[in-house]
Amino acid sequence: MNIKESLQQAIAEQPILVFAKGNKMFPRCGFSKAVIDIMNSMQVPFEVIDIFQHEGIKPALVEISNWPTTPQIFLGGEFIGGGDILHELHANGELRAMLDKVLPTESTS
Amino acid sequence: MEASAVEKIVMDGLEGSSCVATDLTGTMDHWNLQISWAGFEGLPLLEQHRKVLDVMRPFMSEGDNSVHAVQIKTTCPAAS
Repeated sequence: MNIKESLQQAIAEQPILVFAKGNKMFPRCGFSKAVIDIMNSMQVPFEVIDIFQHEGIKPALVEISNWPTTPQIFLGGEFIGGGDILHELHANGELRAMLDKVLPTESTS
Repeated sequence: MEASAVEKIVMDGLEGSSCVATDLTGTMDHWNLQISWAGFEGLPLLEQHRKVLDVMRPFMSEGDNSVHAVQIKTTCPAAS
């Protein structure tokens, strides 16, 4: 399985997936950190893939989402956008419903 | 890159738009872009941002990399 296929598999499997510079504990870019902070504040289970883990990740990701920058957010296998869009969805209250829709029901007590 | 140059790229790429570029980090490569453009009318947020990024792409990592990151805020001009 090449990098693109493994990314596509992760995107399909993870209800909430963030591609970032750095990881959950140590984001290495302000925009990535802002996204991780938002997801932490929503108290939902989410995965972070650090694009610095392998140089092939970023080009494969750009091909999948047709979006040139990181962070990138996928909900329920669908590309939602970058940090700005997540911030706007969070600010206008749409994010909670979008997260609940993709999470397995028992975890949204 | 100068703010005026960034604004020109956006306004040339999105005909009839107005753009204000603000340097986020003082390094002239992380820009906040406030863009007002009638062409955003009716487009979902993701598509609005795609239009802006398509214009900026030649200057980002896939191009000459003079712009490292952009923070985008899109609005439609008030119906006059």
